Amino acid sequence: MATDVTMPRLSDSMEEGTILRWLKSVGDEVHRGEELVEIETDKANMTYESIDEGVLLEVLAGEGDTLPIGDVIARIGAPEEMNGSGPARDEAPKREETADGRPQTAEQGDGRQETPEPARQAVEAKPDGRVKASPVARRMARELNVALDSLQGSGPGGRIVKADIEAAAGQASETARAARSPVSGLPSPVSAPAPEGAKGEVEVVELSRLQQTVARRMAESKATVPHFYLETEIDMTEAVAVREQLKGIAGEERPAPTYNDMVVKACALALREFPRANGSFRDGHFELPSRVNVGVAVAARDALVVATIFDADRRSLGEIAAASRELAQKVRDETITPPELSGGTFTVSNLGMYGVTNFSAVINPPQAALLSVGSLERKAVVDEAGRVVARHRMGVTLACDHRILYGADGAQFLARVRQLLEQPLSMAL
Amino acid sequence: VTDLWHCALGQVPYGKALAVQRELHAARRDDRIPDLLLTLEHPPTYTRGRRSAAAELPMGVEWYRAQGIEVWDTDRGGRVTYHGPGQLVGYPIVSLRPLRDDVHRYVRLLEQAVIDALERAGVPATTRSGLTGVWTPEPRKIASIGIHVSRGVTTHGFAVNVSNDLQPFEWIVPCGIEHCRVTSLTRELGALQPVGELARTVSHGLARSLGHELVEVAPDRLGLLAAAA
Repeated sequence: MATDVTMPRLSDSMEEGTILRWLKSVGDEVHRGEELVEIETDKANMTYESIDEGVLLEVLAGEGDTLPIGDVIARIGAPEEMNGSGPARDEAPKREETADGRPQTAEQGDGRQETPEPARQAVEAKPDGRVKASPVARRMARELNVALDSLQGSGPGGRIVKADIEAAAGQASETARAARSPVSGLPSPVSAPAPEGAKGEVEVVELSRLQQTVARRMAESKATVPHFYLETEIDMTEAVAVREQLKGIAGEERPAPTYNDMVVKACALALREFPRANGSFRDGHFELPSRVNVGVAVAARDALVVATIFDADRRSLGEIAAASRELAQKVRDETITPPELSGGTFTVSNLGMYGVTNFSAVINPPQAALLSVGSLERKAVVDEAGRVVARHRMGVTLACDHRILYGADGAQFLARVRQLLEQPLSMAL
Repeated sequence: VTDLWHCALGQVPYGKALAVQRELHAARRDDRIPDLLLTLEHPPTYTRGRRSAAAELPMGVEWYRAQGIEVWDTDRGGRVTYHGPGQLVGYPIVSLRPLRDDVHRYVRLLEQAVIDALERAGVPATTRSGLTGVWTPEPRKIASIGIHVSRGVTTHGFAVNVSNDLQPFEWIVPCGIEHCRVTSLTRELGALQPVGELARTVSHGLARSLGHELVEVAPDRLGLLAAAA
């Protein structure tokens, strides 16, 4: 008679455990006291030794599955209890190794499309009418109101696994709820397009690490940082003239600064005068760093990164120009290093090159503020003598974290940035 | 009263420390030695637990190696962490039979030994519900815990930041916890703290909570034992 192996209680306070690795495969002989499975609980990994003798008949919990104490994880019995005459070993959850040599988790392994078709057929003809399902699948089926006996399993030996329940639940919600016809489709492979609906076929794209980081940080920023925005327009006519002169002097070795480099320099000098704009609100404190490190948002392939120009307040415009070019190149080559992506105390984001005149970017936490820079435009403005003249103007928006940078402080900081850019020679001092 | 051997090994490369633990684990299992605590430091190393996700080393393994930091996959619990010179690492090789094989009790006991030692050094610390490791009130993580139990005998253990460089923690997602901030004894007290002093207090505390008597043993005694085995 086969014996159930259940999730063991490894501690009085343990409620559930995660299967890390099966040390035996289905069909293997198991002796009492032999290491059977590795289980993780609350940062402790345990190698669990079998208390039964026999052959490992079935493995019911895949690697990565978390189960409550007492749930059946495997069955051990006599060799003749192995169902089917074929080598059942093939149906066991394999200990697949990933490229770096570590075992894959069951989530990845659950889509066992390689399970041979006959295995499924064999289960349909189960004589006792008992439905085979993993404990996780049973629990999910209860929660999602999916009838187990209406499903065909895709797990080893036709067992119904988590993915089957998910597929069934997904399909059930797509189709009319009234129709209580049994859901009979095979589970869709993990990466397959979702069923066609009003939006046509939907392609599901996994995020890169960088994209995951951007998604997480931006959502966190908008959700937890109380943003407010200050807008102004800066007269760049002088800056344009200065840049024209610098372009004449500059060569291959020392490129002329861009308008964005000038914005970085102006912000850096102003940040030195307004420590809170350069600070962070963290854990109920103001953190005011001694260094002024200006981050520049750079579009990378399929993502966005913020490259840092360290000590921008102490570097010349030419040095900033050289540093920002080098960083942009590193972002494109994907050779940028973490220190160059962190350590910023303020961020400048510029979409002017796309013809955007004004926008309000999301603060890059834990920074206190971010300057969004629009395009440089020739505009008709009224000068001091009341005449209409053509001037170069640039729209900017300062996003502030109201927990550390208040309206009046933000306005003064922004006025100082404008003043520096309108009198660009003051930045050369 | 039984003994708890304490052996201070100095700086040991991670791979070598793994091999030493493996040997001592076998010796402890066969009752050739009493319970034992190894204290040591590692050269700069990231170690990943069984369930570490790739995103916990976001720059890719090659980049970290280029910084002179080794990367190891281990069989302990928990996620990625950093070890480096100035960090006190403790590997207790102890039998859990007297604790009725209760791993959680053992983890709590280790945590308490670390907390007590930190408190004696002047830094209040505590555990946080749902998170393992030891934290300052701020909260910043000051010590990590990750253990492995096989045949009732433990390996791996704890790591307390004493005077180590904390920057490598910023290059990873420590313990899989986003925005996890770390600190060290030196950072908390504002003056350079020696690793040996904390090793002494932790080993005393652990001996006390296990009901053992602390016996200092030299590394070569373990070496002889390993050779004889």
